Amino acid sequence: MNITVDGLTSIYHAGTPFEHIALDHLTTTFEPGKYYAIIGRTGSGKSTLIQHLNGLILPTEGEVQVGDLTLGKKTKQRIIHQVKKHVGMVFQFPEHQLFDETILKDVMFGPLNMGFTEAEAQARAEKYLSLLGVPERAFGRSPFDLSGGQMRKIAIAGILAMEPEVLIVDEPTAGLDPKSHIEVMELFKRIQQEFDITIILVTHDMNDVFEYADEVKLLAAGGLIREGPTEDILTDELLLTDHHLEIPDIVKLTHDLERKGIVFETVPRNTEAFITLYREWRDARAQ
Amino acid sequence: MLSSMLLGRYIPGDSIIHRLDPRAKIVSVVLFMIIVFFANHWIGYGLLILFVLGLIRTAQINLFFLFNGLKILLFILIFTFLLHIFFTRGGTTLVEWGFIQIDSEGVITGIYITVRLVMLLVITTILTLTTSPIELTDAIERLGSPLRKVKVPIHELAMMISISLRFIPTLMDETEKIIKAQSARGSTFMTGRLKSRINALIPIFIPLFISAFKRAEEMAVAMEVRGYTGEAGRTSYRELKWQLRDTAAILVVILFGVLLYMVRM
Repeated sequence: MNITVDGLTSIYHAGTPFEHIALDHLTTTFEPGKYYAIIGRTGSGKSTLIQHLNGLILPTEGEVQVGDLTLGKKTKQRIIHQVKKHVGMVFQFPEHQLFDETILKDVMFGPLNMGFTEAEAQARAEKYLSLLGVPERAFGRSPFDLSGGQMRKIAIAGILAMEPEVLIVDEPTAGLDPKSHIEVMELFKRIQQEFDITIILVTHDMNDVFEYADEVKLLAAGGLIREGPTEDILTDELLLTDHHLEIPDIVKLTHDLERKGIVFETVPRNTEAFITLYREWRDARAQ
Repeated sequence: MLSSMLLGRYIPGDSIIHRLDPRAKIVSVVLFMIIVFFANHWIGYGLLILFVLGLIRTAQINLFFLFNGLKILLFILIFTFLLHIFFTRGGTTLVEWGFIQIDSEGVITGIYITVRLVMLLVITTILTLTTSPIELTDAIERLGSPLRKVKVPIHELAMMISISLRFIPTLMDETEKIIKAQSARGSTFMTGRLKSRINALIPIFIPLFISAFKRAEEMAVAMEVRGYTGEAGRTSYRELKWQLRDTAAILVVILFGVLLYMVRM
């Protein structure tokens, strides 16, 4: 599923003292099956942009094309509902949306809204709960008895069970412990590869972006500043500092080592790759 | 959608109205509420409207923005208007259709009562728009302090009011967030039959209640941690100072009341 954003402008509270231009004539595309990261400092328009991608906000000007569906200023509810079927959205702190008596029922909520039968919805819910490692005996428990990290997983399962072709995740690791953090990030990578869906990640954590994303879109003040492969953008220290973004630790380390004369052929994307490259460099030097 | 609602919202500013002592503002609003009822024909109502428009201007509030924010109460206004149109008799009969009869008197009373309601709404909204919740409760506490003699827990009441006011916008934002999250899961509470719409409210209210309770609990703990024990021994960081302009403001309202009383017929 291709998403094309064309000249998208979004204004909050138009005509009031609170008027605020969140997005200013933004044009970009999201290709199917890729892992995107949208970065930029607070207030750059990241959250607004992603809410346009599944019709939660409609454009003040411009268009968003989702597959063969078009979202414009006056798109009908019926079309928006269709878009939501294709584009799933995991909000910040998704555990705040849990409401049902049991874990299973809560996960079935999305599929049921999408018009699946009770049996189909249940099959899907069970499939994705198992995928997330929730044991079957826990299905009947209340989601409110769980820990924060577990609740978040259930909430994510609730979106996955709708089987979207594009999955948008907004700060999925905010407030999680380090172990759950890694689990959640690994999960998104896995479902991107296993089910061949597009992931659009919004985050402040540049380490995650560098490790997981294929492509990066950098926003500032409602406009697109740069887009391209992750290794091009996140290794540009000047660009990142200009936009008040952290430089990924591994990039810092690699650049520091370069200054000391230890030069790798590529910038490693994760710890394992780093160790491998370092070994190769040592072996090459020993010969 | 919800964020355009103005009830209980405060917009910081630097107009003379913003700077008035909150006690003066509350007293003036109460006086004005009485004065509104002095008006009994078009000159009186005309003066009322002019006075309120003048106030809005002095307070530097955008007129369109103000009425847009009060749109949510339109239903009550229309209802009141219709009630008077259909049930007030007198004057010449304008329309007669089956059991429905509309008299000129009804139309006039309808308009008057609606204007009166709008004036009351606008004046109280000006109060909350120009006075921060903290100032407002400080003033309520001071003005209510004589009630302490008859064992009314005025400090606790003021604290409750200030906390409630403080959390109106927070809860609104929270509601909007949850509505968005559920509608991303395909919940359609804006369309469909009444029954399905009501059912669609459950996934919104339950998370909202849960977070409200959690917030209340955290708030209580945070207050206790900082040594809150109620009124005893509490001093105020902001001392209210009554100034000449505050007396002047009340005088203006009283004079306006006298004027309105004189044009009565």
